[in-house]
Amino acid sequence: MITITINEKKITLEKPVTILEAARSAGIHIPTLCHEDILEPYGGCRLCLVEVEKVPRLLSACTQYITEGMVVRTETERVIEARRAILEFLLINHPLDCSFCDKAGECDLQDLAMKYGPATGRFAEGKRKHPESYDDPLIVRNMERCVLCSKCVRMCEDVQGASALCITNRGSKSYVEPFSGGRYNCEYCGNCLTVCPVGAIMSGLHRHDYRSWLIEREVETVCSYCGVGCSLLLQIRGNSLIRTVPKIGRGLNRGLLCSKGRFGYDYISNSERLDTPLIRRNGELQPAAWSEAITHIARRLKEIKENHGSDAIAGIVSGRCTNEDAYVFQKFFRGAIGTNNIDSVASLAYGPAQRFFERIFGQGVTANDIHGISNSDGIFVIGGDPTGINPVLGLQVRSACKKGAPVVVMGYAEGLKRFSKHAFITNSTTETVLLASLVSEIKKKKSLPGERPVFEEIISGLQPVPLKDASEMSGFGLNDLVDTVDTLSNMINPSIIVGRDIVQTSTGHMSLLFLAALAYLLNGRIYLLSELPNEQGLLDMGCQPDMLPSGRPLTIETFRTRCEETLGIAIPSTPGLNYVEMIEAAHAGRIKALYVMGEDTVQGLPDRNYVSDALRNVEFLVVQDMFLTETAQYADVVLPSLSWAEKEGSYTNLERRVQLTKKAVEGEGIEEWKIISEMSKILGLDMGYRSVTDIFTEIVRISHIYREITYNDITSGRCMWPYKGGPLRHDVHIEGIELPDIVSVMKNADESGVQVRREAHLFHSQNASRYSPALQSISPEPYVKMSETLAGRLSLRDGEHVKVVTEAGSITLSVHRDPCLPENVVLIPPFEKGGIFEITKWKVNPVTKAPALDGNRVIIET
Amino acid sequence: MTFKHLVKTVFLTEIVKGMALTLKTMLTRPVTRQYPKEKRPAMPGFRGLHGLVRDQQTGEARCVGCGLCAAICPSKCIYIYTADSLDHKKIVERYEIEALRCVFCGLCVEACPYSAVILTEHYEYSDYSREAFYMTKEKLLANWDNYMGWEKNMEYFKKFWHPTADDFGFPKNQAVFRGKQNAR
Amino acid sequence: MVVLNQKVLEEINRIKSKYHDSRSCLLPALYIFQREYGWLSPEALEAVGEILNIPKATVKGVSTFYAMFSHKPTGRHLIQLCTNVACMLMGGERLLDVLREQYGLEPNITTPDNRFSLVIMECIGACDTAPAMLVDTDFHGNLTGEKVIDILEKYK
Repeated sequence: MITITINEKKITLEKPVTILEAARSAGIHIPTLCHEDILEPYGGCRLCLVEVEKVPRLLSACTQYITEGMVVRTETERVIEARRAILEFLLINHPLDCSFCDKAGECDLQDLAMKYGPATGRFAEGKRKHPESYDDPLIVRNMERCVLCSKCVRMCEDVQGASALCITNRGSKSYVEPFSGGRYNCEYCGNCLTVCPVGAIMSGLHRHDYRSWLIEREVETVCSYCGVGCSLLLQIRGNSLIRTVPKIGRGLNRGLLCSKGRFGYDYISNSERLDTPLIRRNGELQPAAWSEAITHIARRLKEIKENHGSDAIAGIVSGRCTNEDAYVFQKFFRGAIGTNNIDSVASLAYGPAQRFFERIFGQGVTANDIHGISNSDGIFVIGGDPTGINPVLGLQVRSACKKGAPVVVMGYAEGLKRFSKHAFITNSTTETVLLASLVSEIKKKKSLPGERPVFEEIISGLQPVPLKDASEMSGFGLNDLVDTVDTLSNMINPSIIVGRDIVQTSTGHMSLLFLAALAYLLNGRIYLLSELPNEQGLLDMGCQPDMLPSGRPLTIETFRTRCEETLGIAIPSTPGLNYVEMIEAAHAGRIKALYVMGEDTVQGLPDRNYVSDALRNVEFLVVQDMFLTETAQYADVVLPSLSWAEKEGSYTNLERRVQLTKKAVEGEGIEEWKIISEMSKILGLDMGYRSVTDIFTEIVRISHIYREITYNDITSGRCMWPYKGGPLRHDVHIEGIELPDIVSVMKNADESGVQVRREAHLFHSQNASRYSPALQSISPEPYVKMSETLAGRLSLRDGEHVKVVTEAGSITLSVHRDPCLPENVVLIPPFEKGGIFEITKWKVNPVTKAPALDGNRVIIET
Repeated sequence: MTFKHLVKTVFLTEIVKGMALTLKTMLTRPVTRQYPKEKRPAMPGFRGLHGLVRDQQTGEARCVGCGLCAAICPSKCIYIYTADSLDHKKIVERYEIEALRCVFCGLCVEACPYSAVILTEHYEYSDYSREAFYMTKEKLLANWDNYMGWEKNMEYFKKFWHPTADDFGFPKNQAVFRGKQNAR
Repeated sequence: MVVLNQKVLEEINRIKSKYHDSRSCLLPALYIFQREYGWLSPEALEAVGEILNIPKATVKGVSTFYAMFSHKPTGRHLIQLCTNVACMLMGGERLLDVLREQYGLEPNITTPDNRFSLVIMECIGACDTAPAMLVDTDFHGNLTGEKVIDILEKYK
């Protein structure tokens, strides 16, 4: 216990903290410019100077720790005089352009100058001149305003780990600059904008569009880009979204954002957005009234149901739909149409992976707190770049690395290059073999804990793959692999981060088993990367062909009848088709009607030609989307949908935390659940919902997982797995898992030639980012990443255009050279035009039913 | 009924008194103004119709869109919409005052650091529609041209609407924008 | 990318082994680059960052802090002329006129033939032999106008 006195107020604290924190705990405000809670104490601005008894000098409160009996005064004449002097120095160079500086009203320096500042400056010489930099499309730098608190630089280096900013030059000539001096070419997380206390680093997106006091409303909601679900504050004037800002210290992101969350919100005001339904008449999509479109769809679905049976109709849900919309959608399909042909994008990678792990370890095994990553003592990343797919989760990896945890990366992870101890980039089959060999080596070093005997039998039954063989096949040095095995087996409390690339291969099911074995041997927590905000929610809502919304399989009769009784609908007893099977069935002509809610199917699956053929084959295609996407262009009816800021609902993130999205602006259109319940009414099932709350109440009533959750629980942020009940960890069914024949995979693997793999792009997240002008402006043109040796052999320079040819097609892309890549792998991100899906052939993993992207050999033509 | 009352009733003294007053005022100058024909001049500092000052040099509105007037307006009837121009300057796209909701307190004029918004002496602006009182930027600039203008009322403008730091009575230790010449 | 010659790489790696982390080696590495290429181009900074596994922005921040690292191309020979008090009293500033007349040199300017660059120094610690200058790393003191031209003629 330490007792100190601040401003004649006695404060008792348990552990030594800085004077600043002590004062804050007592409700005493000490001004600062350079202090930020998530950054290390810096003591650069000298505004937090306080007077401490028996100390002759003034001390900076942000760096001085308290000691017993300390007597501090924060607002004495001497302190105020010192602060005024410092402000006078700062205002020597700071321009007095508050009347058109966007920061005015929320500027720390402005507030301090009002409180302490000198009336006039005595400095007669001119101010520092530094032209404003508009070179960057998103971030405007005005270095005349900079007060050199260095918060941005420290944020970029210590928290974000991007190290894109530096303080150039020295003394009075110093200023903050990215390496290039103009464009940032960084991760565009924009966290430097959050911390800038003045208007020196500002977003160019809403530049000069607002004054902070003209913002009328603020809505706290959840970001719509990825599965992390960061808290965002939407600031609104009238009916337009002015900007999104993070809530510092709040939400699971604690005030950090990524490029998509901070800059990607402008797709909601894109002029290309659909505002009326479109119906295809005489081969052309023509505007129609809402009632007309809804009755048209209901009539056609009824016809097809009568002529071809219920199972000729199928539905696909996007990961951007809220829980409520997804729930109503599946209820419509099961109840009103009478088919289990309902699936979501989650079944492309996230779902199969989760299902596999839950089968072995029980329900909720992937529901781990993302903050746990930074506390783990080792991290194994496989199948995707966490800093690209879920950037805020990626920061946790970097933070763990800074604390000394070794990071082992399998697969390409650009954002972890400087942070990984071991990185292995290979073709996907080799990846599986490598994983198998790591597991068989670790198995030798670690004893089996005896917790799950059935699974341990499987682990001991795994075929041994000597490191030597794996080293020969992959081309990595044996010492490297031995080191990696040592690193991995020394981890006591590791995090295992699994991305979609490991699932979307033809050996994906084997990799998943090896990963499960690794997780079991190392006692690791599994995190699944999720590219879309509500993939988990879709699974929970029963948007799966074989699962009920209660989170239980529909083939078990007790569960099904209970569900039927509660809802008053009949649910077919046979599981339906999943996403990939639906496309295959459509291609074969067995699916007559397809209802796609919010998903751009053509852009999300390998082999674009195959998928477009399938969609053309469908007799009646309904697409509900914000934009006229490529899928929508094949549709018979297109319904406009509302963006995430225009409707209410809930998202379940990758750690299974339920969060609410709020309506911030009025959109043109009708909520998805309303449209579907209208249709359902015509088809004879009156769902009778009046609001989102009604739907949520029903979900809570029916869902075994979500039982008894209230909106209050959600808003308080306590709505985390296992919500209100015990997790079903005992509910495992390992029986029936086949032991992979990895030796014959190794023998038969044909890894000659160059193969193409997918790169998850930081600025791209399926179709929303495509319509965000801001994200488009920073994201480069479609490219292919290749190794230095391959580029050298073809004598290609950076930025040169090449033709990438596979069996499935060819695209022209610009070259990016990357020294980290091996010679036999090229990477292509899933861009709309010139993306990887144009040159991959249709292939499905037989076990997980996820599309497989492996085995696409490329020829690069110059 | 008293005697006094009786005399009043019989001799109609009140009519005589009234006629005497009529006779008296007939010979004095009338105080009534024939309003539409004769107009009463506004007193100095009168707060009439709103106007936006047109800059003498550029011919554009002086307003930079700082939004202080909208911030201080007690009836919240000033709407400012700004945007970024192609050469990265701040431009005021819309500056609108809902005159029907204005209470003519003049706080916007005091708040303006560029003396760009003023209240003119003009007070005759009745109309048949509400829209006519919704002052757009063009209307406000026209008001300045019509009812104020530089040549016409320079003195007046300087005396009443030109803010100077001294008149504002800033606290002694507060930073003040004193124009560019001081900053060099 | 600057063409890294093997000698530079080897030298940096040798120095690197003397320090416990690569960040400590940043200043010596920058010095080697400056010596080999005459100035620190953005590509050179990037290369240093890559060799030492330090973010390139950090390298830039460090290198721009030190005034003796040049971030603009210099000529083949760098003249560092002192015009501080002692040298100025002994006629150092007159030497500037000589350089201007003879070679067209101005402070912070490189001659068109890329032969000389001139930098004004604040004291090179040779006040006893003022006026003094450094040409590359060679010291010359007790200068006069003729002597300066004589000395510089040796540097082609």
